[in-house]
Amino acid sequence: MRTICVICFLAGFYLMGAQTSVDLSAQVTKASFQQHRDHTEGKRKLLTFKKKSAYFNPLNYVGAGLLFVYQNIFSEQIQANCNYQISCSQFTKLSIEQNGFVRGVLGGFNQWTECFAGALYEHPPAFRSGDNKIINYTTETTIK
Amino acid sequence: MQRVFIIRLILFFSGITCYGQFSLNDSLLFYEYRYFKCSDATEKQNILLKKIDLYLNAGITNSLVFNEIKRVNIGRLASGQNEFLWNAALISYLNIENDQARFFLKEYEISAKDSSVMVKLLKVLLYKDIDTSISHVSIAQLSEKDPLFKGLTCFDDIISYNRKHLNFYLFSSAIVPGSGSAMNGYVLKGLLSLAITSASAYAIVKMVEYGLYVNAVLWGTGVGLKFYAGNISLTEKLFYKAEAKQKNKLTTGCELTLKSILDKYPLTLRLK
Amino acid sequence: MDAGFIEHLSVNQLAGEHKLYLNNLPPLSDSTNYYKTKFHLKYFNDSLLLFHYAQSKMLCDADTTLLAKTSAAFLVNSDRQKTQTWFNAIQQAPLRGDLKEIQNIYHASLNPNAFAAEAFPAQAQNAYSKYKRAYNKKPFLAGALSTAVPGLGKLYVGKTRSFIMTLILNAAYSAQTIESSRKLGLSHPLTIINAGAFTVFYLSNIYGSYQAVHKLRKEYKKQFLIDATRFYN
Repeated sequence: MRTICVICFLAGFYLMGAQTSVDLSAQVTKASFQQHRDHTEGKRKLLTFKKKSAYFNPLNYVGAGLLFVYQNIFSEQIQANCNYQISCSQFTKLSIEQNGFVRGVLGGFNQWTECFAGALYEHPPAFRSGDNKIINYTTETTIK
Repeated sequence: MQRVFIIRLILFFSGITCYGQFSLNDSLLFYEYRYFKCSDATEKQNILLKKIDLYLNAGITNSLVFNEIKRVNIGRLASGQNEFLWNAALISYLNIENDQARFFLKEYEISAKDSSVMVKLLKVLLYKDIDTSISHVSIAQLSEKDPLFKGLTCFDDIISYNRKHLNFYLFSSAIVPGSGSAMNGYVLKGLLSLAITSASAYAIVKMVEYGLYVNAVLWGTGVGLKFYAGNISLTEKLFYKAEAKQKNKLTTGCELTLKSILDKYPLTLRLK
Repeated sequence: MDAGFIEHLSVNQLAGEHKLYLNNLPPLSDSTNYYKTKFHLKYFNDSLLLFHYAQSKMLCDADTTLLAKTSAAFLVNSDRQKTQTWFNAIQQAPLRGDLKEIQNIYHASLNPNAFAAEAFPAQAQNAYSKYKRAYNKKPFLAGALSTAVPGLGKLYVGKTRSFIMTLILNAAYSAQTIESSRKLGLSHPLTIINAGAFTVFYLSNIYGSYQAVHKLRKEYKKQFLIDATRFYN
């Protein structure tokens, strides 16, 4: 009985694999609606701590909460049209994750100070994207 | 004994899968070598057709097959032209290379003089976004055979769906902050816009009352104006978001219609 | 082994067939490893390229075009460790023409003071000069200048527009703080908010100026390497 079950399971598994590879109708449907589907970005996530020591700093929790509220509620209420590829709030979040609270916040505010159209020309062409945004990195070590 | 049998069974199935993969790659290489060594242009095209058939028989329809299709010189094909053109049209469509797909389908229609349901259905799918007059003619012809095809007009509904009176919503938000957003269906966001803009205005008025003119100007331009302008741009964003939401709904319905059509009239490859 | 067929597979971008053909060749042969090096240059894979190059060093070193193309590819490779391994590995190779120039570019990217801009292709000279200038700026001096006058460190590294914006922003926040502290007192919430904002922006300007030197160095170094690679490709 057990042998029959195993045979049925394996045969089913094999046939299922064969079935998925030639399901042309599903592929046609997918290709037909590729451009009609709207892929809007979802809610932005809460800051996560990468270093163990970060869990013991209460300021990190305050920063995480404030950034979460700003990104999901207030960011759309102001004309937040950042000319950096990683927006100022997202940059601050990533920067806190990588460099800790103080350096992260200072780095984020510094980017905010430099967030104006003319700043684009202060970076070499390799760091300007096609849609005229500055390609930024959370630390200088991440520039490869 | 039973365990040995099960292990053998597993080895058998994994053997089939691995051998299938090996034999496909080996065959592809074998044909490519023959293609390289061959000096006759017509024979070369036949070898390419065999390579394409190998891919298709293995259920592969991705860019690898499309690249092989692009290498084929149609003018030099001696036999199997119709099958190639049909498969090429379908594979190009699956790879979102619609210009190429339309070219192959046109060539196929001229060469095969085929006006079957499959050809018309693919034509509808290929022209739905660029020339609705062609797709309408095909839908009308298909509907005579089966009224189920009338459902294909759902593509028109998706493409032509546009929300109207954007300026009205923007003007409304300019007069009463958040009202345009609320009218778009996002009441909470509208109320938040109203609360924030009112609070900013109140704070600036209070600063003026206390004689804090520098603070009033700087907070007013730096924060107050940003919230006011932001409320208008949010209204525009939500207007298009509501439009996209409705389009997504239409797309889901249309997807079901197309699925039911393809269940009854599947588009199939011509395999050897 | 059919060299013509390998070339045919390469020209037609048939990566699957190309890989399988090479895998069917005797694995320990110098020629196999030489063609595998070429394969991993075309479909760039730095680890495998380095591995097969080491296995067929003699043959690869005789092909200066291969060495020059690989060196150009390594110049813009994101893994700096592997780039260093490559340039160390080809030190014994006969350095002629393009290869010699590319190696100079690599060494200049490590120490820009060792070369003059004129030593490089015209299209890479501008980025090189800017890289050299950024390389010689001192991060601590930039930070110190910004401590004295907000934004001055950014002017020092060549970011004039950012200097103006930082100065205006800091001046605005300090004016707000002074006004509210005079009229409402130091313990009033508005004064505390203004002072807090000013402090954060002032400190961020110092930190930003310090970081700007490091970032600009990296940015112009990358630009220089990209411009140079474009010339040799």
